Amino acid sequence: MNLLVLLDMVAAGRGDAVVVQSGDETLTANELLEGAWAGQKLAAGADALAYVGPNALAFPLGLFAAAAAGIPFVPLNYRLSDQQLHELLEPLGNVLVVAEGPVGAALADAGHDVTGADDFVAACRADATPGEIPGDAEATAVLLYTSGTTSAPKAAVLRHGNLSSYVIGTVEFAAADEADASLVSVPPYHVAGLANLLSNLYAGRRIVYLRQFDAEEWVATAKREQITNAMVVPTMLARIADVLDADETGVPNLRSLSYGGARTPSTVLQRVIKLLPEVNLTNAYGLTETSSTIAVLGPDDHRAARGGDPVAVQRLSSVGRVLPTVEVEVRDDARHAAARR
Amino acid sequence: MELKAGQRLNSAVCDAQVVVVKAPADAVEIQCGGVPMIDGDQERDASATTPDGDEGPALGKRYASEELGLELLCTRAGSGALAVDGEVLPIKGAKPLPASD
Repeated sequence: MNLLVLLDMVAAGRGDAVVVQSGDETLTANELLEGAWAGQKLAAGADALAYVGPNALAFPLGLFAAAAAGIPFVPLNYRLSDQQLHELLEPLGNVLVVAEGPVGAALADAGHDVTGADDFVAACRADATPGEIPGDAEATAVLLYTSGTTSAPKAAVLRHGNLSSYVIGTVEFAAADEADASLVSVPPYHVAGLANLLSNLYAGRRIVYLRQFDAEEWVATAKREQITNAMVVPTMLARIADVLDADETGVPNLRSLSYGGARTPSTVLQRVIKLLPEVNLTNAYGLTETSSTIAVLGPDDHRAARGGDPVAVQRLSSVGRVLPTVEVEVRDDARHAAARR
Repeated sequence: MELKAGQRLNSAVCDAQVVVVKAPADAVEIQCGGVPMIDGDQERDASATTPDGDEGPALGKRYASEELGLELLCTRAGSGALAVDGEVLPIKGAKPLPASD
């Protein structure tokens, strides 16, 4: 099922509700859906739509415009060198690149078709008539480049079917309260940034983007926007804990904080448990290749550790339980199944 | 009709629309309000009505038959009850998960 069907449902349910916010700019579900069709016209004839930039409205607009055009969306790390970006884009064929500033200029000089992020967002705000949503669930929705620890970055292929089944299998449609808001500070080229966008959109939770992570800014935004949910990576968690240590009012609306993307040091976790006693903490474990989360250590496990019970404290280093929609197999050296669940 | 995953079906009697999430191997007839559902691109008869007492599908809910390996996702709410070969399709229970994203 094409990802655009998910957005189409959100627009049918609460079309005038703000779904994404970045600074003072917002998009309602209807605006995002119409923007996808306007963006699709810009992408006509391209083999892929790439986005090189921080969290901003161009990210969801680019994703859904690519889905409407039936071409892959490729979010790239804007911290890569111009040469590295060029080498990743080159094999993809005729790519519409949405990028701003010096990176955009360098990629245009290298012969790529570049549109500035602001121009792209403005073009997506033009009137557009919805077309036929592409039906191929096997089509590539997103190419996500992993960091390439051992060699050049490699692309994980996420198909429309992978992502939409993850969302409809794990998120209850429109179940969030109207006042709910999720603060997103993981970058758009990380699978958590992508999963986050789709899950919150489908749950009916307003997404508030931080352009780039900064702990002071994160806490200030959480207060100002009355943030109820957030997802961070371990290094962010440690810096947020430092800011909250010196902050008496804290983040009063926050109900749920999930973390993942790398192993979190136990010392950081135990500090956070004490600093945020009312918050439901969740460790989300997954891989880029698995379309995000496959196992979670839930709030009850974190609460149990608050009393200092040694077994419960030790369990904080676990990735928790496998999601009911996931099958796991442990294989021996000869690749035979040794255990299955 | 033989269904395939991703296929859209419209009600012939109300606004309901569903997407096939899981398709059974064998052909089945999906009905809404007692009348077979039609392919996304077919026109419906505007004068048609739904039977009294029908409970139509709700937006975002899944309707499934484990036995047949059938699962539908409601993408537009309607007033006619969803059924497969005459049997009303129940809502598939949600699996509550802690918010991880």
